Amino acid sequence: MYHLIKKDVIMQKRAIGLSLLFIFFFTFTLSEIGPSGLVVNILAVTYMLALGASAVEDKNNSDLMLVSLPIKKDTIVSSKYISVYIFALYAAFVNYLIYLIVNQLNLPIKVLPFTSGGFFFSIVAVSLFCSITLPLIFKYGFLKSRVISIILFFVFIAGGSTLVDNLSKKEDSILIQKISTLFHSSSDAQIALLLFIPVVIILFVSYLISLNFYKNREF
Amino acid sequence: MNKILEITNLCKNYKDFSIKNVNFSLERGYIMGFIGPNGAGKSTIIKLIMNLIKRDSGNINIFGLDNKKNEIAVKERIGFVYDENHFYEDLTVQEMKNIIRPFYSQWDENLFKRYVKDFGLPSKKQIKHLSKGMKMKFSLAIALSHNAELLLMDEPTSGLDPLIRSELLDVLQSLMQDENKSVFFSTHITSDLDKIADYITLVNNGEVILSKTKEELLEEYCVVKGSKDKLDSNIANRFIGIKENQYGFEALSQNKDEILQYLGDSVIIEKPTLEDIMVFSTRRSDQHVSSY
Amino acid sequence: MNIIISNFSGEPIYLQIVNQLKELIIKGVLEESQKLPSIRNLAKELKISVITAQRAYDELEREGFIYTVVGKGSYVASINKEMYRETKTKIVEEKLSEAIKHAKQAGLTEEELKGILNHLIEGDRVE
Repeated sequence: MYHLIKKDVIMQKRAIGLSLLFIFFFTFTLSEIGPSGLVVNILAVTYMLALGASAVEDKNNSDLMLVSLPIKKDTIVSSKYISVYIFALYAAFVNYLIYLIVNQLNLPIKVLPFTSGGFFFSIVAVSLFCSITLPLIFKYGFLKSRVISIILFFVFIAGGSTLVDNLSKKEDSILIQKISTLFHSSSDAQIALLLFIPVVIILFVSYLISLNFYKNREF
Repeated sequence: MNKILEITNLCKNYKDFSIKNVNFSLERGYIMGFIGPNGAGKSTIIKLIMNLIKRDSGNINIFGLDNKKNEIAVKERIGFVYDENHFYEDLTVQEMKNIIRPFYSQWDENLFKRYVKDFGLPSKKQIKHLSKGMKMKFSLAIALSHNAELLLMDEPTSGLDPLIRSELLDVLQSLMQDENKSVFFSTHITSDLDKIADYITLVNNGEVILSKTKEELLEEYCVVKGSKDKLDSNIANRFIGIKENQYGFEALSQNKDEILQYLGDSVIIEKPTLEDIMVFSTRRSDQHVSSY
Repeated sequence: MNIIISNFSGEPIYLQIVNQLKELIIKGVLEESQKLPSIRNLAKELKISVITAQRAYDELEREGFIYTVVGKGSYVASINKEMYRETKTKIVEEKLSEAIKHAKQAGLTEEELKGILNHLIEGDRVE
C-alpha cells in the first residue's frame, strides 16, 4: 500500500511545485472570506493533486498495467483513499506554515487564518468530496467521470462556503438556531465527534462501493 | 500433469461478439503462437487469462491454479507484455521500475540491470520519449526480471521493424533454454512464429479453429496450385479455402495424402506457411477474392 | 560442425537436420560417443522450434545414429556399414526422383533419361 501511495506522490512531483504557487495565490486572494477560504484552498489543492494522479493513470489506460501486477484490488482502492488525505494534509500543512511564518514575523500581509475549525471543516469537505468522486472514478475511470467531478467540486466550494458563512453568521432560521443551540450546549470535541462519525460512516460506505465497482470493472 | 496453461470451455458474451467455448492448453517448456485476424478475440482471451475481464463460464488454470481464486499467486509468476504502453509515460525507466519492483517478491534486480544493458535501455529517459521498440523492450525487461514462468504477450511485435522483432525472438529462444518456462504469444505477423513456435492456436470469430504443434500443422496441411479445370465440385469441397484467378486456382487442404491421391502430379503441392493456413481458414465465405 | 537449414526447401526442417547429422556421423566429423548439443540449444542456434529439434533427435535415435542418456544428453552411436549403405541408397533414390521430375518437365522420354544416366555412369568410369 505504501508503494502505491508513493507512486501517486511521485507521479505528481511536478504538480506539487505548481500546487505551492496555488496555495500562495489562494492564501492571499481568499483571505477576505475568512475560515471558509481555508476549506476552499485545501479542497482545491487536494482536488488538483489527487485527481491529477488519476488523470495520469487514465491517460495510457495504466489501470490495465496495475491490475496485471500481483496487487490486491482492495489495496489499490484503499491506497487511493489514503493518498487523497496525504495530499489534503500536505495542503493544510503548507497553509499552516505560511500562516505561522506571517504571524511570527508580523509581516504586513493578510493571509488565510489557520484555525482548528477551518482545518476540521476542510477534512470533512475533502472526505465528502472523495466519498462521491472516487467511486465514480473506480467505476468509469477518471476521464469519463471528469465532468461530474468538476461539477461536484464547484458545488462543494459554493455550497460549503455558503454553509460555513451562514453558520458563522448565525442567521435566525429555526434550523440554524436549533443547530446553534445544540452546538452551544455541547463542547467543541462533542461537535467534532458528532460530525466526525457520519463522515467516517460515509467514507467507509464509499470505500465499499468503490471496491465493488473496481472488482467488477472490465479492463 | 505438466500443463502451464489450460483453458476449458471458456465463454464470454458481449452484445456483438462472443468467445465461444474455447479449449486449448500449453505445456511447460514450449512456445505457443496465438494467431488470428484482427478482431478474432485474441486480446479478449488474453484479458480473460489475466482476469482483467470476467469470464461467463469455463475454467482457466495457470500453473495448475484457478486464475481467479489464486489471482495474486498466479500473477506473481506471469510476465506480461501488451501491445500498447500502459506505463506512466511521464516517469523515467528507472522510476517506473522502482514502482513495479516491490510488488514482485521474486524480483531480480541484477537480471533487470542485465536486460537494461543488453537492450540498450536509457534508464534516465522518460517513457514517453522512448521509441515504440524501446517501450516494448522495457516492458519485456520488466516481464523477465521477476522469475516469471509464463510469459504472456499480446501483439508485442505489431508496429515494430524486423530487426527488433528478430531480437525479440532471440530473447524468447534464450528463455526457452529453461525447460520449465513457457511463452504464450499473440500476433498477426505469423512470420515471427514460422520459425520458433512449438504450438499454434488459431482463433477466428471468438472460436478456436485449431490448436496443435506446428510440426503436425505443416505436415497435414498443404497449399495446392493448379489450373482451374482440375477444380470440380468433388475436389473443391475437400479444400478449406480456395482462391481463384484468371490463370488458375490456389487452395489449402488439410489432407495432403488425399490430395496427392486425387490430383497427383497434375497440380503443384507446396508446404504451407502459417500465413497461408491463417488466411485460408479464416476468410469469410461471402468474400471471394478474385483478381478482376 | 555445420548444419544449414533452408526454409524454402520442400524437405521438412526436422528431416534436413536428420540428414545432415547422419552425413556428419557417417563422414566421421561427429565421432562415436561424442556429445551432441542439447535439444534446446540446437533449437536456439538454428532458430527452429524445440519440438522440431526434438523430433530430429527422436528420428536419429530411432534409426540408431544417436542414443540418449536421460538427464545427460544425446551421444553419437556406433554405426555399421549396412546402415551407411542404407542411408546412401535413400539419398540416391531422392536425387534420382528429382531428376525424373526435371526430365518430365523437359518432356524427356524414358529412353532419353536412361541414356543420360548411362552416359554419366560411363563418364565416371573413364575418370
